[in-house]
Amino acid sequence: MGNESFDYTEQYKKLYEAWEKTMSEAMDVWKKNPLVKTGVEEAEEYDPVEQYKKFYEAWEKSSSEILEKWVNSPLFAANIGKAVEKSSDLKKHFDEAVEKVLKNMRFPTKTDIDRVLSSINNLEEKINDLADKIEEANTPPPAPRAQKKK
Amino acid sequence: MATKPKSIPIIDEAEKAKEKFLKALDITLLNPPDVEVGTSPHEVIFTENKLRLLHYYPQTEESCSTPLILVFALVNRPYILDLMPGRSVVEVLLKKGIPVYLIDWGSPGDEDKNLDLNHYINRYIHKVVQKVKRHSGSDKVNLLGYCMGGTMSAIYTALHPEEIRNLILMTAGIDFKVEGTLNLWGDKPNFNVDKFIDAYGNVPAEFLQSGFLMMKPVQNLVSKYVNFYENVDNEAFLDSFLAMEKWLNDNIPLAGEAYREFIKYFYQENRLVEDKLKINGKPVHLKDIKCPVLNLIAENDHLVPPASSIVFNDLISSKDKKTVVFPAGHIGLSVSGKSLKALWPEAADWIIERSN
Repeated sequence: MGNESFDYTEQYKKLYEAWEKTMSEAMDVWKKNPLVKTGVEEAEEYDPVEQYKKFYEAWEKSSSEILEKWVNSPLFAANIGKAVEKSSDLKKHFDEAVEKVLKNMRFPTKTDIDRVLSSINNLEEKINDLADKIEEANTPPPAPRAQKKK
Repeated sequence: MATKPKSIPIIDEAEKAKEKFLKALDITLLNPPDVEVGTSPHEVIFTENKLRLLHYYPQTEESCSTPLILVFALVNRPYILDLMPGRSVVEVLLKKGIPVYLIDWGSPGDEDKNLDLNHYINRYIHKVVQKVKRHSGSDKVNLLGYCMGGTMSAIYTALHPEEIRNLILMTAGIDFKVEGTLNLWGDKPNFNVDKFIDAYGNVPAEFLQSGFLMMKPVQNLVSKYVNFYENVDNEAFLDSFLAMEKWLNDNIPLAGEAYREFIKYFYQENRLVEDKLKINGKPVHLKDIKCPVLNLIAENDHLVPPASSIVFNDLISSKDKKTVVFPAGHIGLSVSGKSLKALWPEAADWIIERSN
């Protein structure tokens, strides 16, 4: 899955071919429009709702193929990764600035609150463990269940 | 003489389309109905931090003396396994007489960002196993892990084989170097998970949701709603659609440290398959799994490619092991009518045969 094995020209060609296929399928549907063809048979068979559905189906199939190819390309993966990295940098700087301001103003920060909540969670775990030990000490181990017939 | 085209009731069609559109708008945006999910009767028998352990009340005489614990992924809510009456894996299992327990991980807060895989596996799952053993009076439990929960269940079974009678995996990611969208996005050159978690703490729910949507953009953002519009007058379709939508949009964050480890250890370093995984300093060897294993795989899974799960049975020492590749998607494996009729009753029988 490394970038080295990815042929961008080939991928672009594939995307172009998929786009071309979409367009030609859409045009095939459009050509059945009586405004384009005025022959009697075609005109009598023409149902705009049905034709629209066919057009939509052709568009849906081809567009899915194009977009799924795109999101599965290393180029997309690398770019989305870069975007996430940049947004992470931005968020980190912003949060650090807010944290510094609040600290200077002697306000408790989100980090302080999280620390307190985390301590409460640790205490809850210790209490649960102690409660289990007390329960174990006070009750004999349960007898295994009788085997039930199927 | 020019022939006039056949008269088409286009105005009627437009009127019908308008009515359908207004109804669809009303249901989705203006007056969305309250959808009840996760309705199988249950009690909460243990809580710790955000975790809740649910015990479902039996619906028939129990035919199985070993309880089954459902371990869901840390992403999204676990009620997909009990979506609504008639669309519920839990219901199928209860009707077969299996005692069912489910771990609801809850929604982690910012204070939980340091919870790592060790905490989830060796603290939470282990604690739940002890609670269920005590509650049911059984000396062992059956574990059923779904998706990421399947990966964690496999690790737990390898670390604590003495606790598990049967292991059932459902679309569990095991080999992360097979071809797949998430495997590509999560790979080392593309994703700097350290920077991401250092900045965000937990993984925001929106980040996960947008990633899932992007994997199949036309299907998730267009086709689904066109299908909804087409079926807006079909009550049965609407009930299922709205319940599914509720679940799909009921996203939760993921504890940052657990995510960091999951991406690094599995997506980037494939440690489980390469036998290099350590949890809390203890090596995890899949070959230590010797209990009976049922590996359920969704043939059309776009989140966990079938090739990622199928390798599991070759890496364990169990003699009694079975793989089922079922024609469904990642979510369809738990909610599609086809799975609930054909797959799950068979899976329940497999569990019962090995549980007494």
